[in-house]
Amino acid sequence: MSLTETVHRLVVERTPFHDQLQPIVARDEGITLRCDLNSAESVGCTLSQIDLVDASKSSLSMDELVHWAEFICGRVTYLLEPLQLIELDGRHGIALVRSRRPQRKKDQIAYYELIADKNHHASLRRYRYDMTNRDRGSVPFPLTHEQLEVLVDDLVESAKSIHGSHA
Amino acid sequence: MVQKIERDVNRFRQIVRGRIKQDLRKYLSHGEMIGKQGRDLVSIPLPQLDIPHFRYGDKGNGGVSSGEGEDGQPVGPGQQGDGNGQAGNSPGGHILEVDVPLAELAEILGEELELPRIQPKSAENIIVTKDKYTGVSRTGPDSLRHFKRTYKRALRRQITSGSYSADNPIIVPIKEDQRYRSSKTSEHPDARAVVIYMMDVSGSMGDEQKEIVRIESFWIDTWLRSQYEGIETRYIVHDADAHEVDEHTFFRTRESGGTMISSAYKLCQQMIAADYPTAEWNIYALHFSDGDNWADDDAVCLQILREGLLPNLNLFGYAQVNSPYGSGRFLDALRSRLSLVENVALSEIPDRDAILESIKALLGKGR
Repeated sequence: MSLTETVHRLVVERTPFHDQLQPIVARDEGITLRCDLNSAESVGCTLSQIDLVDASKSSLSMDELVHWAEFICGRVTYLLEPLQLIELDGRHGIALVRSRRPQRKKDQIAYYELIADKNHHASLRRYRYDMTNRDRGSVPFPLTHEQLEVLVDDLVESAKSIHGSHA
Repeated sequence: MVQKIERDVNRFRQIVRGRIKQDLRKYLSHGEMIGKQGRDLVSIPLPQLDIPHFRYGDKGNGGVSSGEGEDGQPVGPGQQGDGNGQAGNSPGGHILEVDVPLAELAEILGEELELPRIQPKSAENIIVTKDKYTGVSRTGPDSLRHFKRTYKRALRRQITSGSYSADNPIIVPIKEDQRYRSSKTSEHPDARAVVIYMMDVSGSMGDEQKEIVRIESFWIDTWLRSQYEGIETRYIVHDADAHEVDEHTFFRTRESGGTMISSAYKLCQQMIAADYPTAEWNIYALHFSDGDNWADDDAVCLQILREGLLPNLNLFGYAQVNSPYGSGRFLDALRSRLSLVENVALSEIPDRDAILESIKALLGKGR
């Protein structure tokens, strides 16, 4: 069973639930995928975080990291805002991807942030910055079940598309 | 005696000055005037300014004219032509551009923001000597010969001795006629100052953020130049690494790296150690960033500031520009640790309208 099918099955098994954190973990071919679900119902779910780690490979070069980040930006186009690579930290081996145009409503700015690092770890969250108290916090983001499946597919494919040296 | 035209010019300058003060916030938040900066002047567009003009009374309507034409021939508009020009569709503007000296602009800024005048820390430590050519002497090197004075002396001598001929006006100076420029050496205290501008050019700093920095640093620079003669400026850009650049590159460069503020502070520290003995120099370090620093770097920055930079600086100013993603946490880190330190000034710039307050926060300490 593929990772996408496993995740789908685990979500359906738990549906419906509201306002409680339910982590789902699925593993396949060295890739571990974890979704922190906050709620789920018949149409979709909300997630506070989705993480992917490919333990079968290690140490991406900066070029490979850029390739990975850009691959994700090119494929994941169905979220509330398209993504773009913002910063590359060569020292720590980290790529910072965020929404191209953050959503601005009154005193609040919301955007996706995906951090990919050289150890084949990618983590997607949505943040909300409150301008009144200058505070940034992670917020759950909604996805339909179909979007979640496509997102898992794309993340897994992106991880497989880059080489890295085998551990 | 002051001539009438001078009074009018002064009056006109007062009007311009009043208008600039009135619209200072607008000029501070718009960068276009900075682009028109000359060496010592800035062109400022002043709309709806009533410039002085002559007004004629009723009696000025008639009178005698000269030129071609017979008595009684009507003077009016000519026949209509068949031109095909079209009317414009935008309102006409009455924009007057006035050249304002940078020093005057700084004065207006100082008055409007109630900025205290800076007390240089090292003025009494350094005495500089300056040679100024103010007089004329009978001896000196040929390179300093005053040709006009020499010529006049020779001419006067030849006329008084009767050897001058108007038909053959040849003037031959002799040794006694020679005059030379002479210098006078004066001593005065000198306050030397350097401003080190630092800017985060990482991927999260967009064009709007850089424009805000450009505008704000222009005004800060203008103010500091009005306080120190011959101020030096140095520019550092950084993402995860820092390097020194020229002014042009400073405002236009963009990197894709992550943000490591400590890299800029380290370079600033090295620069000061290499070029600016702190006993002799008034040193200003001004840093602009969106504050999106890597978390573990904040502690390093604070350590460099406390141990390396702040003891040597007149002022450390940090202005945090909001990025499209909000504001970073670096300002909070500085506020919680350094807000009570005398030579630290912190400010936040959410948008262009906040530039005025930010300048006041940075320069309001009078250091």
